[in-house]
Amino acid sequence: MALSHSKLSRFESIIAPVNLALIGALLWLVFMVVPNERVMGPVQRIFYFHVGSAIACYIACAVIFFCGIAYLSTRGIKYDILTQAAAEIGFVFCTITLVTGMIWGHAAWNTWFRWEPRLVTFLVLWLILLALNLLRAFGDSTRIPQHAAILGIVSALTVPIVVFSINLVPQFTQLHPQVIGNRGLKDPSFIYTMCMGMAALALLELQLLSLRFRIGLLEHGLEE
Amino acid sequence: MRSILALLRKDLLNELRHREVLSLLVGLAILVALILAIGINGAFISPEAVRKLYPALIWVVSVLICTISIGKSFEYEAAGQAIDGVLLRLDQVWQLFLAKVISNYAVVAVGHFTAMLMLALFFDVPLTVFSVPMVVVALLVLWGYAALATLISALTVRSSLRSMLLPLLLLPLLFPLLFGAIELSSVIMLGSSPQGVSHWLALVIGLDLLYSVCGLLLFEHAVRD
Repeated sequence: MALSHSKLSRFESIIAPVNLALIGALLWLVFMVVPNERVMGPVQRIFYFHVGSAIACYIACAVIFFCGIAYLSTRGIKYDILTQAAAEIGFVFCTITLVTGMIWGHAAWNTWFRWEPRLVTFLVLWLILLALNLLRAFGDSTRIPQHAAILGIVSALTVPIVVFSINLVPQFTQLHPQVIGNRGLKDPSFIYTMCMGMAALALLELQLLSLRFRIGLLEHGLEE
Repeated sequence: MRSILALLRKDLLNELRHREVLSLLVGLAILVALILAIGINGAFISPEAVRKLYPALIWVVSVLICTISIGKSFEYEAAGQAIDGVLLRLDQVWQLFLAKVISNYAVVAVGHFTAMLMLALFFDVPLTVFSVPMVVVALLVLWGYAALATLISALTVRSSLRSMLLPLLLLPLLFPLLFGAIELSSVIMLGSSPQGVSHWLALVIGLDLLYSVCGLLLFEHAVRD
Protein backbone atom coordinates (compact mmCIF):
# COMPACT_ATOMS: atom_id res chain seq x y z
CA MET A 1 0.00 0.00 0.00
CA ALA A 2 1.55 3.27 -1.16
CA LEU A 3 -0.18 5.52 1.39
CA SER A 4 2.38 7.34 3.50
CA HIS A 5 2.23 9.87 6.32
CA SER A 6 3.54 12.78 4.23
CA LYS A 7 1.30 12.05 1.21
CA LEU A 8 -1.78 11.86 3.41
CA SER A 9 -0.77 15.01 5.23
CA ARG A 10 -0.61 16.86 1.87
CA PHE A 11 -3.95 15.29 0.83
CA GLU A 12 -5.58 16.48 4.06
CA SER A 13 -4.26 20.01 3.62
CA ILE A 14 -5.98 20.08 0.22
CA ILE A 15 -9.34 18.55 1.20
CA ALA A 16 -9.66 20.34 4.58
CA PRO A 17 -10.59 23.76 3.05
CA VAL A 18 -12.87 22.04 0.48
CA ASN A 19 -14.55 20.19 3.31
CA LEU A 20 -14.95 23.36 5.35
CA ALA A 21 -16.53 25.10 2.35
CA LEU A 22 -18.90 22.17 1.69
CA ILE A 23 -20.04 21.97 5.32
CA GLY A 24 -20.49 25.78 5.38
CA ALA A 25 -22.56 25.55 2.19
CA LEU A 26 -24.58 22.66 3.64
CA LEU A 27 -25.39 24.62 6.81
CA TRP A 28 -26.35 27.63 4.70
CA LEU A 29 -28.63 25.52 2.48
CA VAL A 30 -30.22 23.64 5.41
CA PHE A 31 -30.92 26.66 7.60
CA MET A 32 -31.30 29.52 5.08
CA VAL A 33 -32.46 28.13 1.73
CA VAL A 34 -34.68 25.01 1.95
CA PRO A 35 -38.28 25.78 2.87
CA ASN A 36 -40.02 24.18 5.82
CA GLU A 37 -41.44 20.77 4.93
CA ARG A 38 -45.26 20.97 4.79
CA VAL A 39 -46.07 18.29 7.40
CA MET A 40 -43.00 18.02 9.62
CA GLY A 41 -41.99 21.69 9.78
CA PRO A 42 -38.45 22.74 10.80
CA VAL A 43 -37.48 19.39 12.41
CA GLN A 44 -37.34 17.82 8.94
CA ARG A 45 -34.06 19.73 8.37
CA ILE A 46 -32.28 17.07 10.45
CA PHE A 47 -32.91 14.72 7.49
CA TYR A 48 -29.96 16.19 5.53
CA PHE A 49 -27.49 15.22 8.27
CA HIS A 50 -29.26 11.92 8.98
CA VAL A 51 -29.05 10.63 5.38
CA GLY A 52 -25.46 11.86 4.89
CA SER A 53 -24.32 10.09 8.08
CA ALA A 54 -26.07 6.86 7.05
CA ILE A 55 -24.28 6.92 3.67
CA ALA A 56 -20.96 7.59 5.43
CA CYS A 57 -21.65 4.61 7.68
CA TYR A 58 -22.22 2.32 4.67
CA ILE A 59 -19.00 3.60 3.08
CA ALA A 60 -17.15 2.66 6.28
CA CYS A 61 -18.60 -0.87 6.08
CA ALA A 62 -17.38 -1.18 2.47
CA VAL A 63 -13.88 -0.05 3.54
CA ILE A 64 -13.91 -2.61 6.39
CA PHE A 65 -14.87 -5.37 3.94
CA PHE A 66 -12.29 -4.65 1.23
CA CYS A 67 -9.46 -3.86 3.67
CA GLY A 68 -10.28 -7.04 5.63
CA ILE A 69 -9.90 -9.14 2.47
CA ALA A 70 -6.75 -7.22 1.49
CA TYR A 71 -5.23 -7.78 4.95
CA LEU A 72 -5.89 -11.53 4.94
CA SER A 73 -4.44 -11.85 1.42
CA THR A 74 -1.31 -9.72 1.89
CA ARG A 75 -0.89 -9.36 5.70
CA GLY A 76 -0.07 -5.69 5.04
CA ILE A 77 -0.40 -3.90 8.38
CA LYS A 78 -1.61 -0.71 6.66
CA TYR A 79 -4.81 -2.50 5.63
CA ASP A 80 -5.36 -3.42 9.26
CA ILE A 81 -4.87 0.20 10.32
CA LEU A 82 -7.40 1.30 7.69
CA THR A 83 -9.90 -1.36 8.89
CA GLN A 84 -9.52 -0.05 12.43
CA ALA A 85 -9.97 3.56 11.28
CA ALA A 86 -13.10 2.67 9.28
CA ALA A 87 -14.60 0.72 12.21
CA GLU A 88 -14.11 3.64 14.60
CA ILE A 89 -15.31 6.34 12.20
CA GLY A 90 -18.19 4.20 10.91
CA PHE A 91 -19.30 3.74 14.53
CA VAL A 92 -19.31 7.53 15.05
CA PHE A 93 -21.39 8.14 11.88
CA CYS A 94 -23.76 5.29 12.82
CA THR A 95 -24.24 6.90 16.24
CA ILE A 96 -24.99 10.26 14.54
CA THR A 97 -27.55 8.53 12.27
CA LEU A 98 -29.25 6.87 15.24
CA VAL A 99 -29.28 10.02 17.38
CA THR A 100 -30.58 12.29 14.58
CA GLY A 101 -33.21 9.63 13.79
CA MET A 102 -34.28 9.56 17.45
CA ILE A 103 -34.53 13.36 17.60
CA TRP A 104 -36.71 13.32 14.46
CA GLY A 105 -38.71 10.37 15.81
CA HIS A 106 -39.43 12.22 19.04
CA ALA A 107 -40.92 15.09 17.05
CA ALA A 108 -42.80 12.87 14.58
CA TRP A 109 -43.91 9.91 16.70
CA ASN A 110 -43.66 11.42 20.18
CA THR A 111 -41.27 8.66 21.28
CA TRP A 112 -37.48 8.34 21.18
CA PHE A 113 -37.49 4.77 19.91
CA ARG A 114 -40.06 2.35 18.61
CA TRP A 115 -39.94 -1.12 17.12
CA GLU A 116 -39.90 0.06 13.55
CA PRO A 117 -37.93 -2.29 11.25
CA ARG A 118 -35.53 0.33 9.85
CA LEU A 119 -34.74 1.71 13.30
CA VAL A 120 -34.08 -1.77 14.63
CA THR A 121 -31.85 -2.70 11.68
CA PHE A 122 -29.75 0.44 12.17
CA LEU A 123 -29.45 -0.35 15.87
CA VAL A 124 -28.19 -3.81 14.83
CA LEU A 125 -25.65 -2.15 12.51
CA TRP A 126 -24.54 0.05 15.43
CA LEU A 127 -24.09 -3.08 17.60
CA ILE A 128 -22.09 -4.78 14.82
CA LEU A 129 -19.72 -1.80 14.59
CA LEU A 130 -19.50 -1.71 18.39
CA ALA A 131 -18.53 -5.41 18.34
CA LEU A 132 -15.73 -4.69 15.85
CA ASN A 133 -14.31 -2.05 18.20
CA LEU A 134 -14.74 -4.29 21.26
CA LEU A 135 -12.75 -7.06 19.59
CA ARG A 136 -9.85 -4.63 19.13
CA ALA A 137 -10.03 -3.70 22.81
CA PHE A 138 -10.55 -7.11 24.42
CA GLY A 139 -9.63 -9.77 21.83
CA ASP A 140 -6.63 -12.10 21.66
CA SER A 141 -3.84 -9.50 21.60
CA THR A 142 -1.48 -11.70 19.56
CA ARG A 143 -3.93 -12.08 16.63
CA ILE A 144 -5.98 -8.89 16.66
CA PRO A 145 -5.41 -7.95 12.97
CA GLN A 146 -6.46 -11.38 11.59
CA HIS A 147 -9.44 -11.64 13.92
CA ALA A 148 -10.57 -8.08 13.23
CA ALA A 149 -10.33 -8.73 9.48
CA ILE A 150 -12.42 -11.93 9.78
CA LEU A 151 -15.07 -10.27 11.94
CA GLY A 152 -15.01 -7.24 9.61
CA ILE A 153 -15.66 -9.37 6.52
CA VAL A 154 -18.50 -11.36 8.14
CA SER A 155 -20.00 -8.16 9.60
CA ALA A 156 -19.80 -6.26 6.30
CA LEU A 157 -21.49 -9.17 4.52
CA THR A 158 -24.24 -9.21 7.15
CA VAL A 159 -24.92 -5.44 6.89
CA PRO A 160 -26.68 -5.49 3.45
CA ILE A 161 -28.71 -8.52 4.56
CA VAL A 162 -29.80 -6.71 7.72
CA VAL A 163 -30.62 -3.54 5.77
CA PHE A 164 -32.54 -5.24 2.95
CA SER A 165 -34.33 -7.76 5.18
CA ILE A 166 -36.76 -4.98 6.15
CA ASN A 167 -38.29 -5.38 2.69
CA LEU A 168 -39.58 -8.75 3.90
CA VAL A 169 -41.50 -7.09 6.74
CA PRO A 170 -45.10 -6.07 5.83
CA GLN A 171 -45.34 -2.45 4.67
CA PHE A 172 -48.00 -1.55 7.25
CA THR A 173 -45.51 -2.14 10.10
CA GLN A 174 -43.03 0.33 8.60
CA LEU A 175 -43.30 3.89 9.82
CA HIS A 176 -39.94 5.15 8.54
CA PRO A 177 -40.52 7.71 5.76
CA GLN A 178 -39.73 6.34 2.29
CA VAL A 179 -38.65 9.78 1.09
CA ILE A 180 -36.71 8.84 -2.03
CA GLY A 181 -38.71 5.73 -2.97
CA ASN A 182 -42.01 7.63 -2.81
CA ARG A 183 -40.58 10.73 -4.54
CA GLY A 184 -41.24 12.75 -1.40
CA LEU A 185 -38.75 15.52 -2.23
CA LYS A 186 -41.02 17.89 -4.15
CA ASP A 187 -38.99 21.10 -4.00
CA PRO A 188 -35.73 21.00 -6.06
CA SER A 189 -33.87 22.62 -3.14
CA PHE A 190 -34.66 19.51 -1.03
CA ILE A 191 -32.84 17.34 -3.57
CA TYR A 192 -29.68 19.40 -4.01
CA THR A 193 -29.41 20.00 -0.25
CA MET A 194 -29.63 16.25 0.31
CA CYS A 195 -26.92 15.67 -2.33
CA MET A 196 -24.77 18.38 -0.71
CA GLY A 197 -25.28 16.71 2.69
CA MET A 198 -24.15 13.35 1.34
CA ALA A 199 -21.12 14.84 -0.43
CA ALA A 200 -20.04 16.96 2.57
CA LEU A 201 -20.31 14.12 5.07
CA ALA A 202 -18.63 11.59 2.75
CA LEU A 203 -15.71 13.99 2.29
CA LEU A 204 -15.58 14.62 6.04
CA GLU A 205 -15.40 10.87 6.53
CA LEU A 206 -12.56 10.63 4.02
CA GLN A 207 -10.64 13.32 5.90
CA LEU A 208 -11.25 11.62 9.26
CA LEU A 209 -10.19 8.26 7.81
CA SER A 210 -6.96 9.81 6.54
CA LEU A 211 -6.29 11.45 9.91
CA ARG A 212 -7.01 8.25 11.87
CA PHE A 213 -4.87 6.27 9.43
CA ARG A 214 -1.92 8.63 10.03
CA ILE A 215 -2.37 8.24 13.79
CA GLY A 216 -2.36 4.46 13.28
CA LEU A 217 0.88 4.66 11.32
CA LEU A 218 2.49 6.60 14.17
CA GLU A 219 1.13 4.13 16.76
CA HIS A 220 2.70 1.23 14.86
CA GLY A 221 5.97 3.12 14.46
CA LEU A 222 5.70 2.96 10.67
CA GLU A 223 6.35 6.69 10.17
CA GLU A 224 8.33 9.25 12.10
CA MET B 1 -13.39 -37.14 5.14
CA ARG B 2 -11.59 -39.51 7.50
CA SER B 3 -10.08 -36.56 9.38
CA ILE B 4 -13.46 -34.91 9.77
CA LEU B 5 -15.01 -38.10 11.13
CA ALA B 6 -12.08 -38.63 13.52
CA LEU B 7 -12.36 -35.06 14.84
CA LEU B 8 -16.12 -35.37 15.14
CA ARG B 9 -15.80 -38.67 16.98
CA LYS B 10 -13.27 -37.12 19.36
CA ASP B 11 -15.56 -34.19 20.16
CA LEU B 12 -18.69 -36.27 20.59
CA LEU B 13 -16.91 -38.92 22.70
CA ASN B 14 -15.40 -36.21 24.83
CA GLU B 15 -18.83 -34.69 25.38
CA LEU B 16 -20.47 -38.04 26.11
CA ARG B 17 -17.76 -38.89 28.68
CA HIS B 18 -17.72 -35.56 30.50
CA ARG B 19 -21.25 -34.32 29.66
CA GLU B 20 -20.11 -30.81 30.57
CA VAL B 21 -21.76 -28.80 27.80
CA LEU B 22 -24.89 -30.94 27.57
CA SER B 23 -25.63 -30.79 31.29
CA LEU B 24 -24.91 -27.05 31.30
CA LEU B 25 -27.23 -26.57 28.33
CA VAL B 26 -30.12 -28.62 29.71
CA GLY B 27 -29.78 -27.00 33.15
CA LEU B 28 -29.78 -23.52 31.61
CA ALA B 29 -32.77 -24.34 29.38
CA ILE B 30 -34.84 -25.36 32.41
CA LEU B 31 -33.68 -22.40 34.47
CA VAL B 32 -34.25 -19.70 31.85
CA ALA B 33 -37.64 -21.16 30.88
CA LEU B 34 -38.63 -21.18 34.56
CA ILE B 35 -37.55 -17.55 35.03
CA LEU B 36 -39.60 -16.56 31.98
CA ALA B 37 -42.58 -18.52 33.29
CA ILE B 38 -42.36 -16.76 36.68
CA GLY B 39 -42.17 -13.35 34.94
CA ILE B 40 -45.05 -14.05 32.58
CA ASN B 41 -47.28 -15.51 35.30
CA GLY B 42 -46.52 -12.49 37.48
CA ALA B 43 -47.62 -10.19 34.67
CA PHE B 44 -50.99 -12.01 34.35
CA ILE B 45 -50.66 -12.46 30.59
CA SER B 46 -53.47 -14.55 29.12
CA PRO B 47 -52.67 -18.11 27.89
CA GLU B 48 -53.62 -17.08 24.32
CA ALA B 49 -51.14 -14.19 24.39
CA VAL B 50 -48.45 -16.49 25.80
CA ARG B 51 -49.00 -18.92 22.89
CA LYS B 52 -48.50 -16.02 20.49
CA LEU B 53 -45.28 -15.15 22.29
CA TYR B 54 -44.05 -18.75 22.33
CA PRO B 55 -42.24 -18.75 18.91
CA ALA B 56 -40.24 -15.67 19.92
CA LEU B 57 -39.56 -16.98 23.43
CA ILE B 58 -38.10 -20.29 22.22
CA TRP B 59 -35.57 -18.46 20.03
CA VAL B 60 -34.67 -15.99 22.77
CA VAL B 61 -34.04 -18.83 25.25
CA SER B 62 -32.30 -21.01 22.68
CA VAL B 63 -29.90 -18.33 21.43
CA LEU B 64 -29.09 -17.28 24.99
CA ILE B 65 -28.30 -20.73 26.37
CA CYS B 66 -26.53 -21.95 23.23
CA THR B 67 -24.28 -18.87 23.17
CA ILE B 68 -23.29 -19.44 26.78
CA SER B 69 -22.46 -23.10 26.18
CA ILE B 70 -20.82 -22.81 22.75
CA GLY B 71 -18.03 -20.73 24.28
CA LYS B 72 -16.63 -24.01 25.58
CA SER B 73 -16.32 -25.58 22.11
CA PHE B 74 -12.62 -24.75 21.66
CA GLU B 75 -11.63 -24.96 25.32
CA TYR B 76 -10.22 -28.51 25.13
CA GLU B 77 -8.06 -27.62 22.12
CA ALA B 78 -6.97 -24.27 23.52
CA ALA B 79 -5.83 -25.79 26.81
CA GLY B 80 -2.12 -26.54 26.63
CA GLN B 81 -1.96 -25.42 22.98
CA ALA B 82 -3.43 -28.79 21.91
CA ILE B 83 -4.90 -27.03 18.89
CA ASP B 84 -1.39 -26.69 17.40
CA GLY B 85 -1.06 -30.48 17.47
CA VAL B 86 -4.46 -30.92 15.82
CA LEU B 87 -3.54 -28.41 13.10
CA LEU B 88 -0.22 -30.17 12.43
CA ARG B 89 -2.04 -33.47 11.76
CA LEU B 90 -4.59 -31.96 9.35
CA ASP B 91 -4.21 -31.54 5.59
CA GLN B 92 -6.78 -28.77 5.45
CA VAL B 93 -7.83 -26.52 8.33
CA TRP B 94 -11.43 -26.32 7.08
CA GLN B 95 -11.79 -29.98 8.15
CA LEU B 96 -11.45 -28.89 11.77
CA PHE B 97 -14.06 -26.17 11.18
CA LEU B 98 -16.52 -28.60 9.63
CA ALA B 99 -16.06 -31.15 12.41
CA LYS B 100 -16.56 -28.44 15.05
CA VAL B 101 -19.68 -27.12 13.31
CA ILE B 102 -21.23 -30.59 13.18
CA SER B 103 -20.47 -31.33 16.84
CA ASN B 104 -21.72 -27.88 17.90
CA TYR B 105 -24.81 -28.40 15.75
CA ALA B 106 -25.64 -31.61 17.62
CA VAL B 107 -25.17 -29.88 20.98
CA VAL B 108 -27.23 -26.76 20.14
CA ALA B 109 -29.99 -28.93 18.68
CA VAL B 110 -30.27 -30.72 22.05
CA GLY B 111 -30.34 -27.32 23.81
CA HIS B 112 -32.95 -25.89 21.46
CA PHE B 113 -35.35 -28.82 21.66
CA THR B 114 -34.97 -28.94 25.45
CA ALA B 115 -35.85 -25.23 25.59
CA MET B 116 -38.86 -25.86 23.31
CA LEU B 117 -40.06 -28.69 25.52
CA MET B 118 -39.58 -26.80 28.80
CA LEU B 119 -41.36 -23.69 27.49
CA ALA B 120 -44.20 -25.84 26.13
CA LEU B 121 -44.58 -27.50 29.54
CA PHE B 122 -44.43 -24.27 31.55
CA PHE B 123 -46.74 -22.31 29.20
CA ASP B 124 -49.20 -25.14 28.58
CA VAL B 125 -48.51 -25.20 24.84
CA PRO B 126 -49.59 -28.50 23.19
CA LEU B 127 -46.71 -30.82 22.34
CA THR B 128 -47.94 -30.84 18.76
CA VAL B 129 -45.65 -27.83 18.51
CA PHE B 130 -42.96 -30.39 17.63
CA SER B 131 -44.40 -30.65 14.13
CA VAL B 132 -42.26 -31.55 11.11
CA PRO B 133 -42.17 -27.97 9.66
CA MET B 134 -41.22 -26.54 13.07
CA VAL B 135 -38.40 -29.08 13.46
CA VAL B 136 -37.17 -28.48 9.89
CA VAL B 137 -37.08 -24.70 10.44
CA ALA B 138 -35.26 -25.19 13.74
CA LEU B 139 -32.66 -27.48 12.12
CA LEU B 140 -32.09 -25.00 9.27
CA VAL B 141 -31.67 -22.03 11.60
CA LEU B 142 -29.45 -23.97 14.01
CA TRP B 143 -27.06 -24.91 11.20
CA GLY B 144 -26.46 -21.23 10.39
CA TYR B 145 -26.14 -20.51 14.11
CA ALA B 146 -23.61 -23.34 14.62
CA ALA B 147 -21.51 -22.22 11.61
CA LEU B 148 -21.36 -18.58 12.69
CA ALA B 149 -20.90 -19.36 16.40
CA THR B 150 -18.03 -21.79 15.66
CA LEU B 151 -16.19 -19.15 13.62
CA ILE B 152 -16.74 -16.39 16.19
CA SER B 153 -15.84 -18.61 19.16
CA ALA B 154 -12.50 -19.34 17.44
CA LEU B 155 -11.86 -15.56 17.54
CA THR B 156 -12.51 -15.27 21.25
CA VAL B 157 -11.00 -18.50 22.59
CA ARG B 158 -7.75 -16.90 23.74
CA SER B 159 -9.27 -13.70 25.04
CA SER B 160 -9.23 -13.16 28.78
CA LEU B 161 -12.83 -11.92 28.55
CA ARG B 162 -13.91 -14.86 26.39
CA SER B 163 -17.26 -15.60 28.06
CA MET B 164 -18.37 -11.96 27.85
CA LEU B 165 -16.86 -11.16 24.45
CA LEU B 166 -18.46 -14.06 22.56
CA PRO B 167 -22.11 -12.93 23.02
CA LEU B 168 -21.13 -9.33 22.24
CA LEU B 169 -19.56 -10.35 18.92
CA LEU B 170 -22.00 -13.11 17.99
CA LEU B 171 -25.46 -11.80 18.85
CA PRO B 172 -25.48 -8.67 16.63
CA LEU B 173 -24.52 -10.83 13.63
CA LEU B 174 -27.29 -13.30 14.45
CA PHE B 175 -30.13 -10.80 14.08
CA PRO B 176 -31.07 -11.57 10.45
CA LEU B 177 -31.13 -15.29 11.22
CA LEU B 178 -33.17 -14.62 14.34
CA PHE B 179 -35.67 -12.45 12.40
CA GLY B 180 -36.14 -15.32 9.94
CA ALA B 181 -36.42 -17.94 12.70
CA ILE B 182 -39.08 -16.01 14.63
CA GLU B 183 -41.10 -15.15 11.50
CA LEU B 184 -41.11 -18.74 10.21
CA SER B 185 -41.86 -20.27 13.62
CA SER B 186 -44.73 -17.80 14.14
CA VAL B 187 -46.28 -18.59 10.76
CA ILE B 188 -46.06 -22.34 11.41
CA MET B 189 -47.35 -22.21 14.97
CA LEU B 190 -50.01 -19.56 14.73
CA GLY B 191 -51.11 -20.46 11.24
CA SER B 192 -51.02 -16.80 10.26
CA SER B 193 -50.86 -15.62 6.68
CA PRO B 194 -48.00 -17.38 4.90
CA GLN B 195 -47.25 -14.20 2.92
CA GLY B 196 -43.51 -13.82 2.45
CA VAL B 197 -42.70 -17.24 3.96
CA SER B 198 -40.69 -18.28 0.91
CA HIS B 199 -38.59 -15.10 1.22
CA TRP B 200 -37.87 -15.72 4.90
CA LEU B 201 -37.02 -19.34 4.13
CA ALA B 202 -34.70 -18.20 1.33
CA LEU B 203 -33.09 -15.74 3.77
CA VAL B 204 -32.43 -18.48 6.33
CA ILE B 205 -31.00 -20.90 3.74
CA GLY B 206 -28.93 -18.09 2.20
CA LEU B 207 -27.50 -17.20 5.63
CA ASP B 208 -26.73 -20.88 6.30
CA LEU B 209 -24.72 -20.97 3.08
CA LEU B 210 -23.06 -17.60 3.69
CA TYR B 211 -21.90 -18.45 7.21
CA SER B 212 -20.74 -21.92 6.15
CA VAL B 213 -18.71 -20.57 3.22
CA CYS B 214 -17.28 -17.72 5.34
CA GLY B 215 -16.28 -20.22 8.02
CA LEU B 216 -14.66 -22.64 5.56
CA LEU B 217 -12.66 -19.83 3.94
CA LEU B 218 -11.77 -17.76 6.99
CA PHE B 219 -11.32 -20.30 9.77
CA GLU B 220 -7.68 -20.98 8.87
CA HIS B 221 -6.84 -17.30 9.40
CA ALA B 222 -8.52 -17.42 12.82
CA VAL B 223 -6.47 -20.31 14.21
CA ARG B 224 -3.17 -20.12 12.34
CA ASP B 225 -0.59 -17.33 12.58
